[in-house]
Amino acid sequence: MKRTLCTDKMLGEYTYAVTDNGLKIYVMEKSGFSSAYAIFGTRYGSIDTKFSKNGGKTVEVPAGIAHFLEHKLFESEEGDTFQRFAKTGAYCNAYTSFDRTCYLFSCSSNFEENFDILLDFVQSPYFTAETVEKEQGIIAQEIKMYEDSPGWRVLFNMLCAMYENHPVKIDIAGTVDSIAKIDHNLLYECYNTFYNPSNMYICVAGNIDTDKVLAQIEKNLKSTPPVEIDRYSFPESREVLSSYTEQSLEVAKPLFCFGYKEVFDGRDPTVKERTVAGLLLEILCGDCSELYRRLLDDGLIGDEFSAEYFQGHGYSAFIIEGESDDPVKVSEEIKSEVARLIKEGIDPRLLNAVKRSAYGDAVKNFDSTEGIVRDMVECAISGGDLFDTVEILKEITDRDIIERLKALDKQASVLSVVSPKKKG
Amino acid sequence: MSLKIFSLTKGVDGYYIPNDRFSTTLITCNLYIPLNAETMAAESLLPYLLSSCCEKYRDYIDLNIRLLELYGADLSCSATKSGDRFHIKLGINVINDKFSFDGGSPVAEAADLLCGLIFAPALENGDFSPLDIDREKRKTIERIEGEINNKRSFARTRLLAEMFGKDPFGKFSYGSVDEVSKIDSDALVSVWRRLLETAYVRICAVSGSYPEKAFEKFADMFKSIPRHDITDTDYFRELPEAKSVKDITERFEVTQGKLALGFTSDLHGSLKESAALSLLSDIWGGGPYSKLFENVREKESLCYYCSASSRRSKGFVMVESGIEEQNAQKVVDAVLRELDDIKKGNFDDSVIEASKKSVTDALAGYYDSAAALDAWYTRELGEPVSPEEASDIIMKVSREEIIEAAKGIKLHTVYRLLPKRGEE
Repeated sequence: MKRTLCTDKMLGEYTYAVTDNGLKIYVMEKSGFSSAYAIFGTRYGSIDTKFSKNGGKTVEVPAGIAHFLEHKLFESEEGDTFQRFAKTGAYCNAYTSFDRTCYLFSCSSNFEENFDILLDFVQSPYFTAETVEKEQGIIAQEIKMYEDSPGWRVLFNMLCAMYENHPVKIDIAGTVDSIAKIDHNLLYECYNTFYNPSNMYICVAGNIDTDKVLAQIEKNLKSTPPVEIDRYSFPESREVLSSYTEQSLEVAKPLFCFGYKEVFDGRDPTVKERTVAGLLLEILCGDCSELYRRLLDDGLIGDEFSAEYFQGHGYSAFIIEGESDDPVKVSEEIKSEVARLIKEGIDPRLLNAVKRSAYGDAVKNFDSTEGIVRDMVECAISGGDLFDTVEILKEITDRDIIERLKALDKQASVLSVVSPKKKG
Repeated sequence: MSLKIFSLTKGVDGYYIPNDRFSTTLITCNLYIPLNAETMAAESLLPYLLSSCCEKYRDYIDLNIRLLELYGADLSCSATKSGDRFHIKLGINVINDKFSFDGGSPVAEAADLLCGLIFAPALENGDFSPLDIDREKRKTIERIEGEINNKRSFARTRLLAEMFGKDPFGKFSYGSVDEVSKIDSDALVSVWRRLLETAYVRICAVSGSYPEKAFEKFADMFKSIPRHDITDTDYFRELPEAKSVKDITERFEVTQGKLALGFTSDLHGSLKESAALSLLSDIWGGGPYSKLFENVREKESLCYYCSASSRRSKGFVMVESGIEEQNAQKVVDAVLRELDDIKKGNFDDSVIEASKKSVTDALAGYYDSAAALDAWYTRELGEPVSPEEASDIIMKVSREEIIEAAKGIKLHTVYRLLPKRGEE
């Protein structure tokens, strides 16, 4: 195992290590803390539906299988993992997103015992035809719950209009039809591909001892040889399929999700590019922006108004969402503001304030073991260092932001609206 | 170091929660007044208005830029029911002075800003500006109308309204659209004065070093106000048992139904008086070891979630579930059957142990979050108990006390939110 100590004189230090078979490990001791938070995760999410292993033939699997696998991994031959954690008092959970699946626990005592359980169950798949069938019922309920969620629908409708091929447009849990095609053999196939140490990471922060954590991993990690995963690159052009999409649901006011598609020509954005994207959104439509004032004063937006840089392997978009009686007008205002900022430049006071705020957020993030571990997972998947943000912020100039604004193509934008059902 | 409580002036207490784990200082001003259905809408709107501008920063964009410059200080406000008291909170979380770039004191500056928002609002000739009022009224109305977007919380709100009837606890905190529309400057100025003059106040600070200037500033401001008729913090209004179970079904355009059951309890009040109620609801439908999770969700696959939670301050328990319509009655029956099982003592000691471990493990974790510590010491009135002391109280609850608590639980209201039928 190779170990590196990463330090920052203000923010502290953490250990980064890589095992011989490629598992990435991040550990940060937080002195004085009462609890610890740990994730054992894999770079495997809902978008990984087409792939090959060790140069073999390309396999295509049903949508929603990563999420399904997450549910099933909690079962073992000896019983339910929740019950094992229940005996220690830890909180345990898991989540699947577009590009990752994470198994986690937090606890204030019995860390070693909990960590043993985590290391064990994530490495011990147990799927049978019977248990897979039972899970299909539970997950179908979960899928239906999301069908009623206007915030979820407005996002996925936008992604469907934005992406022609990329599976980011399909619901993370899949569809009732797609999960019906999942069986235990497929689950094993995906497990054996993506739950390989070379594609995984362990991130821990809190009242722990780094040496003990690393020793526990060395003792419990299976010596599975690394695999080479070739993820299919879904071709995406700069164009969107449709610039407008609408659905009616039981809502009081229209919800909108407006996004600019970004294409990175076969590579994923760097840490600096991601940081610039965050600042750009704050300047463009944060609650200190001219656009925000205009929209709020004109009654076009209310409390529900936010922006996100939405990015993963093979997809990237700037998304602004909220509620409005006139979503089309809001989207026009966003496009005009992009043009205005490019023409008139960025107010230096605002840029300075936004950078100070981003620095403050980076500092505050180290107060939460969960926040630290979330950033560690991001580093494991997208690259970079936990302390990068503070240094990168110093380098960013208005020119970086203007150049990025120039790349926002209004022809490659989508407005998705969820409108209220018409009465009567 | 433990909690320090001191009187700042009549009916105003200072709570200093020493904690040097964080890079931030959190200061909150908590005002408690009696629950009053007539004035609740204006009381809910006021903190949003106060936190949007003030005499020094009349323009909300200027205020927001100031917050960014204070290293992204987080300004927050809320208006919630705490038993039979209405709890209005305004707070600010800011990075500690040692992280400032320029040797300034962000903590003192943030405390000044918070005081300015509360004591020196943006009045013109003694009135709030119509523009500011209209903006906040519109946002509040959108919050009220947007409640339907989250079906789970909507079902909970409807349950409480039906269950508590004319008791103001059942009222939606923001009031109705009609009530909000009628709010004017006179009403808001009157609420603002009444709050400052009569509320019981808790100024809370979670910080590594005692923020002397902040407490002094609040003490000086409250001393300059004629304080009278200070809110009694002990008052409790009991919800009588239902003579017959209230049964409500409403239909909406949804795919998945929601079920919310309300139960009265003969236990209420401080943790010392009603710890058994907390454990009972956790064993019934808290963690994955609970009866509802294990049997209703896992064994019978009747729903994706089915959970119980207690409100000790008002002495009741809610059970919430996402359901298929055809399973609605099965879930109600199963929930009641599991409660009956607890009343009969049909549960293992291992479940009590798992519940106690889970609850106490989570309590220890409170020390790792400034916001959690602040919420802990401000959401309940009466003699404060630390999370550590709460753990001791929980550990002492006996099996018999849990069974007795279960026997004191009576079904009061069943609320179902179901999909519309074809012709509706």
